Amino acid sequence: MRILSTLIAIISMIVTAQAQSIGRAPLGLEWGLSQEETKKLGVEVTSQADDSFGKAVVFTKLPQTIADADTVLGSYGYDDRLYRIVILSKQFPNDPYGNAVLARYSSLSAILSEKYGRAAQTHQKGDSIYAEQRYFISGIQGGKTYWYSNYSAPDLFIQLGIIAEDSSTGRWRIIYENKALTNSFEKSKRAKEKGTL
Amino acid sequence: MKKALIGTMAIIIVLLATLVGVLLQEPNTSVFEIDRDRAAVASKIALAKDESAKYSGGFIKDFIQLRLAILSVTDDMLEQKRASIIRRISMTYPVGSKPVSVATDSELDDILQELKQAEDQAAQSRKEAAKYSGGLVQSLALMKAETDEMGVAQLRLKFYSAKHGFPILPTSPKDGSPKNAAPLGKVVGDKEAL
Repeated sequence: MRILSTLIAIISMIVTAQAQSIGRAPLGLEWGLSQEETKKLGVEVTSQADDSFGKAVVFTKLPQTIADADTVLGSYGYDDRLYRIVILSKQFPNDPYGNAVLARYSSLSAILSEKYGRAAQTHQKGDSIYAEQRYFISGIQGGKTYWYSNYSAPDLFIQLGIIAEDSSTGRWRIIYENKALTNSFEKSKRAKEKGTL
Repeated sequence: MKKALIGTMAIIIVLLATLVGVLLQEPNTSVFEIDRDRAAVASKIALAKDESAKYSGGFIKDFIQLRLAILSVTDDMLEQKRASIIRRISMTYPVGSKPVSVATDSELDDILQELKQAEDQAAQSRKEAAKYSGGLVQSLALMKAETDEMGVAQLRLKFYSAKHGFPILPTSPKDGSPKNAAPLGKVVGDKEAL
């Protein structure tokens, strides 16, 4: 009887721990919460136009953020559960070589690798002039150069990448997707599209 | 003949008077003020050069070089403005159909407030980096400090371009978002937040 109750207690702790780990998201957010529940964390949630990732929002007054983050976007599925977070950095302007944003990308990559394991990197410069470093940001803007790292944890997919606003202004971007909730969203999206057609 | 001569003299006098009026017209900004601004930028350039000399290479030196580049652009812009005043050349920079004008005092105050906040943040980052004696942790802390210093240099460029009517950086937000938009959140370390 004693052994049985101990086993039940251990199993309950494991289940609770797993539920907690699925819930914890970056920047002090929680996966799977609704927009109203997210607001109860003290976060300001501003709705945007719906996009291909469901109900889009902009977060402010987050429990945590990092110094050079500029905008944090969230996606809630049709069941109003947070499944995707995108962190966009401030601009790194007047830097066609991309030195500043690359340096920051490296430091973030080191931190994410430490937390989530080795990344699958795609660091591909374009052909012709885009092979030259001075056209690095220009190459990213034009879709000729790709610079991103994908991390895969048991419950998360993460992508760190460099994007360009113009030929000399870069930003870094981190995308987090909760795998289970993303699958759920994709299924409901397909069902919705099927129903529409 | 006499009347023709008087008419010609009158036209010449009017033209000369106009020329003198243009030459004597005082510009809105004095050379003294620009020299003062240039001296402030020159001291920042000297500080950045001293810092850059401490490193032989690497990301941190790259960051400092970028900061130097921004400060150099600021200095060049001020020099150009100074030259235009001395040579009495009126320079306007149209953006779209409208010429860029000098910012108002309240717009300049807003930028100064932003600059002050950025300087405070940069000072805090420097203090944080000084806690470490070396290794990866200090490198990351120094990188953050340099990122913040670059932000300060950019804001300084924004301030001087707004003050002297250069269209390098706009004084109002591009996307029309309100200036008193809610803060993003509580800034913590990268590792803790990500």
